[in-house]
Amino acid sequence: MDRRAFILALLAASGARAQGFAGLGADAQGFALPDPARPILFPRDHGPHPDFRIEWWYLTAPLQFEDGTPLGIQWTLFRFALAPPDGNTPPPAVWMGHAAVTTATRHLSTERFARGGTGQAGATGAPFAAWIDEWQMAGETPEAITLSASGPGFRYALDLQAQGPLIRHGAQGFSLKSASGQASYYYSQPFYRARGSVDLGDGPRAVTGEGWLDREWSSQPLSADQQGWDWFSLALDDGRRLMAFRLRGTTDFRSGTLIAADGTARALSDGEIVAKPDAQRRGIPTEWHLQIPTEGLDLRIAALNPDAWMETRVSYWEGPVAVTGSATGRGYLEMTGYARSAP
Amino acid sequence: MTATALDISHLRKSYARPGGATEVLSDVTLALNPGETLALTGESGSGKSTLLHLVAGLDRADGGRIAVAGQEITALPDRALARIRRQHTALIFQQYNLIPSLNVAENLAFHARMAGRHDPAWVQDLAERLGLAGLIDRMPDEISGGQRQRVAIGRAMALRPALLLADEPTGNLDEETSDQVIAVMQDLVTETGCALLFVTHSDRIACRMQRHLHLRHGRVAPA
Amino acid sequence: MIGAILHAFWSHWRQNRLQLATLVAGIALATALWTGVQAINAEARASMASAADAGRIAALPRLERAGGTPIAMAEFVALRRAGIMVSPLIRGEIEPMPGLHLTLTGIDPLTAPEDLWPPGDFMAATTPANEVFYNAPGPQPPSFSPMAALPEGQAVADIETAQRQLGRDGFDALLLVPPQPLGAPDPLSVVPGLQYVLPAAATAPGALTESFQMNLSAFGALCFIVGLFIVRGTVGLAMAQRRRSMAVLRALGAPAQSLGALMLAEIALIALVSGLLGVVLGYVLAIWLMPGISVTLQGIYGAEVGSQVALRPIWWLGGIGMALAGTLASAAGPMLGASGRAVFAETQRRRGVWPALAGVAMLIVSAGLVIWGAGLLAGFAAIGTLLLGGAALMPGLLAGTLGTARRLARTPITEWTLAEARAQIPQISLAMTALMMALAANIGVTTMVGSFRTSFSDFIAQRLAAEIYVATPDGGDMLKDLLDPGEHLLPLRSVETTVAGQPSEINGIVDDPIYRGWSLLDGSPEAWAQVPQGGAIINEQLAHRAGLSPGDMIALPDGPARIAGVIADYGNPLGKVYVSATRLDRIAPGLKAPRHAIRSNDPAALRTRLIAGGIAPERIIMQPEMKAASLEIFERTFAVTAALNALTLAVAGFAVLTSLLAAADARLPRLTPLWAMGVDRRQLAALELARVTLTAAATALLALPLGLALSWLLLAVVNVEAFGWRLPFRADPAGWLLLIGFGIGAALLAALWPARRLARISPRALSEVLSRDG
Repeated sequence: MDRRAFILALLAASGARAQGFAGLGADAQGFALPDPARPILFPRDHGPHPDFRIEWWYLTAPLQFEDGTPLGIQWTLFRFALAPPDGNTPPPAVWMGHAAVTTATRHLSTERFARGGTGQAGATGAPFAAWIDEWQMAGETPEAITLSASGPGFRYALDLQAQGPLIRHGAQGFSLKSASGQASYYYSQPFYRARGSVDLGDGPRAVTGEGWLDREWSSQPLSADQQGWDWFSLALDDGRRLMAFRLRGTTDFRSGTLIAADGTARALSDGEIVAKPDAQRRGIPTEWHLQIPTEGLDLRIAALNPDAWMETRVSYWEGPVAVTGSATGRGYLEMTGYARSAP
Repeated sequence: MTATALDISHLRKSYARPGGATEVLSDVTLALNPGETLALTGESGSGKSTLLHLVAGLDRADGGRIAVAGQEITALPDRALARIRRQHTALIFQQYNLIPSLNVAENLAFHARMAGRHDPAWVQDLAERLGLAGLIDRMPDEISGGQRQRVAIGRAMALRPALLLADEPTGNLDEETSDQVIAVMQDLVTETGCALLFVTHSDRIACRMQRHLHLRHGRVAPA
Repeated sequence: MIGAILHAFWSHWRQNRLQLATLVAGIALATALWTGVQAINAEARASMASAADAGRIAALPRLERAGGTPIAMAEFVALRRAGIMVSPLIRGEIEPMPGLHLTLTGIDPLTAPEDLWPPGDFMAATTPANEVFYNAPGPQPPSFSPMAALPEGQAVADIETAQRQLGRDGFDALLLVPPQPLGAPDPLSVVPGLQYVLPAAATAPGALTESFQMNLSAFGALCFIVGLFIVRGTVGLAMAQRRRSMAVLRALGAPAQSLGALMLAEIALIALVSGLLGVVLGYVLAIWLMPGISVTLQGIYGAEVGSQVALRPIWWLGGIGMALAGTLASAAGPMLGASGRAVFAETQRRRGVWPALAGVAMLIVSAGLVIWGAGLLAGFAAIGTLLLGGAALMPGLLAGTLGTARRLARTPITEWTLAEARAQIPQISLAMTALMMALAANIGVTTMVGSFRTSFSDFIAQRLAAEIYVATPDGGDMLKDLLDPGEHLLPLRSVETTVAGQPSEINGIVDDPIYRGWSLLDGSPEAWAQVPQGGAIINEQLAHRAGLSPGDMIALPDGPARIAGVIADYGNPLGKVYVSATRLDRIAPGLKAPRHAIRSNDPAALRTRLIAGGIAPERIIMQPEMKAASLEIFERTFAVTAALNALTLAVAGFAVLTSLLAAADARLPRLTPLWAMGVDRRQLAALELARVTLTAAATALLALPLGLALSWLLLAVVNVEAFGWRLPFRADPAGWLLLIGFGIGAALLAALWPARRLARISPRALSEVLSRDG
């Protein structure tokens, strides 16, 4: 969800580097805007949306090696349009990829950049594909995809098979991001079963686990006062899936989706979610207390590796987490807008 | 005795002060023969020290003349005045004015060596007579006030000066030490035949000199 | 009450304006030196980080198409999609305005090495994508932006903009951008027809530049320490003079704590103002020195530095911070002492033998760190303890030296002068420590720079003994046909592998007299003759890292080899092994030579012939150009070093002046007895000059071994730890003597004014000292 939007909005709104990261001003003039009257439609919306300024493909997967040692991988591709579409030529764009592997003791991450229109990076809807350099996410449809990435000191390749339906967040995919109406289109495939190999420089080793795909696009996703967000995607052992986020601003804005094991989704409103940070590592809360009282959920979330900091040009915390409490499971946590203190 | 050791006539000196010049010495005339001792007393600020400084060539007179060992010094340039001090005039001060970086032995010999008249036997003799024989390796800040003053006397006498000028030399000493210091000084003056001008505010000490003059209103008069 | 105390403080400074000026000047000078050096360093780093000059790009390994035809976008994309980190490059001449000729380099900021894009972070703004950055005088063409960090005549633009400007499609080359991801394939198997192009002459600018900067940083820190001695001296003086008024204030009921706190606040305010002044001075200093520095780094290092200095917050805030911290640290002792001292008590501190013992202990620790320590930190710690030990031992050694000299004295005045110089050590030792540090730093840095210059120019002369170097990505078979009979070809071939556990390069050399000229750090003079017989010569980096020496055996891919010798290899991060060409053929059969050296009696004519024969000019490097550049840089380095030397000595001289002024009043009672015994005022002044000069001379003598030890630590310990190679120590006695002379001169100069005041003091003032009541 908006975590990535948030990166962009942050970039657009405040810091010097943000100012023009891909020229993303706060102003969405010339770009399309999400419209609740136009819900997400499949398979049309699997493809890229060049009318919108920003868009991303995001896959996180909590995994384990054959000996049970937990780890996680992240695969992300962003598209930023540098100018609104003019109807003829494809608008100039910059693509940015982030990939990481996180174990309890190591966190390897890297990034890639490419200009649009050259083939170095891109995406298609049918077949369903997104790539930058040798990193690739590809399948006939999102039902079954392969995923690969590599960087200095690591590489991974996964097969992902969907075990449940695609989930449209918010109102048929129209996902509100602030009380003042900013929104994005947002859908997920939270039911992947993952299988493949991860090489940390000592040869490939087999892994299995769960995967969660997010697709999101928008043009002006956040309001000016929102400084960062905390975003959870959790696969509970009872088969349920939970997506919840908190946008930190003058007043926090919370939203989420609780998905039953059969794929029935229920949008969670702002008042239904309680997220409280617990332990911190270098100024970043890496343990959380997450409650959905209306559903009787009372969860403790703890990072597998508290130092899962993405040392990328846009830097943030992202890594696998373990869930305990009224339900158990695992998932991914992403936190942006925090200042990381010295060790 | 070919010349007087000190001959002062019609000496005048005034200092610029806020509100006009103050005349400290208006007309001082006195003479001192070799071997003679003279006490000069006067109130605080009467000009005793000024007179002594003029005689030593440490300061310049406004009028009159001073001759030391027969040599007129009032018109001499700095360098020549320094030479007179080096060769003929020894000074002893209330503050001793020893050289702090040299030990007792080196202090004793210093002035004589500067004058080129160093006589080790005489210095040795002086050290013994002044009771300093056991202290000659000490530094000035390691001995008592009375001992320091005896070093100052020894240093002065080692020169065999024509004129010995003493400026309240016992001012910091107790009565008994003071008497010992004066006794040894008088002995040495008699023995070497130098003239002694002794500035003091104490009539008790002044009485022990052969002559006693009193400085008042810028002039000297017999006490 | 606070108002009254502050008023008393203020009136102290009003009556002692000179002292206030000294304090401000001391802090400002120390800060100026520190920030000046920092600014130069920071600026050099910042500029290098965004520099994209021809030399820099030419020094990167890359892929080109055999035959020189352009590389298509599709081929670039194919390599990237195969997981090979390459970045496209296009280059050509443009004339955007009549008479304005520029060499334009187009790069792709999205994939290029992070520091190549001149505006810095491409994510900061995308508008530069349409601009051409250039450096040339004269009017500015539309959508061209001047950028001083570029060398004159050069322009850099985004690759698409550059393609438009040049009117060409495709790319000239693909830069290989490390680090490659895990499992990246061989590019030549992905796109056939490409070839690796290595730089015509391998240089490693990073390591040398870093070495230079590190040494400059060490120098900056030393300068600051010298400055702190002034601060400490001045504050000590101010406190001594205030002792009486402090006592009065305390007798009137001002609590010691309030006095202390107010004095701290006062000194902090002074430090803040002076630090600000110092930062401005440092800025001026940096601007003044920067053109030299910039060219220095630009020269052979191939690193590009802008000659403009920006007032970066990191160093001006840092400078003020250092001024504050340094002042408070050096002033806290004397100040707290002043406020806490018993009312009207005079204390004379006697330190006994403890400082000397502490000094010896420090030196032992320093030696221990050198012998048993490992790593850069140990090297710097050794320098720190060496200097501290030297400073602690200084007063004792000074006293010893002057004491020994005194025994040789024959006249009472000489004896007195030496005795007095010795007795005054406690009063002047801070200033003399500053002088010693300044001299030691100067001797150390001068020796280091001199050693750098000599070693490196020797190295260049040996290593670049051939007249022409040519990059030959196709193996250089065609070169033979272009040579005259008198010219001969030395193929330069190497393979990268691991030797003795270290990443290394095995070079195959033909038996040529040129190699005999390479001097050995270790090994017999016959070492080169053993190479054709299967022996190996290794570089110092490999010897140091793997603990190898001549006679040891190393395993090469084709079998063992005995090490015949060790050679110096400055600025190279890799290990190197030299074996015979035949042996390299066994190790890597069919290996072509990507570079050739050519011996020629007429290199200029050869160059013309090579170009006429179809070899691109940028693939040819003429040896005299490189040599000239390498020598010029050291001349400039020397110029900067000399300027910094002069400034440090000036600061140390200032420290001497302040300490003399501080002691001036206390000097009179020690001089007047001489005056009373017939030494006139001019002689007294001359004696004072002699005393300071003698003390300074003794200090300078002590600074010499300290400076030599310092330079040895920099050359043989720190540099080895940081970069793996040792710079040979080159003695420069004439230079040392000159520096010692300057050091004594600085002290003498500082003593002139107090001496002049003494020569002109009124006799009455002197006689009053003589007859002063206790």
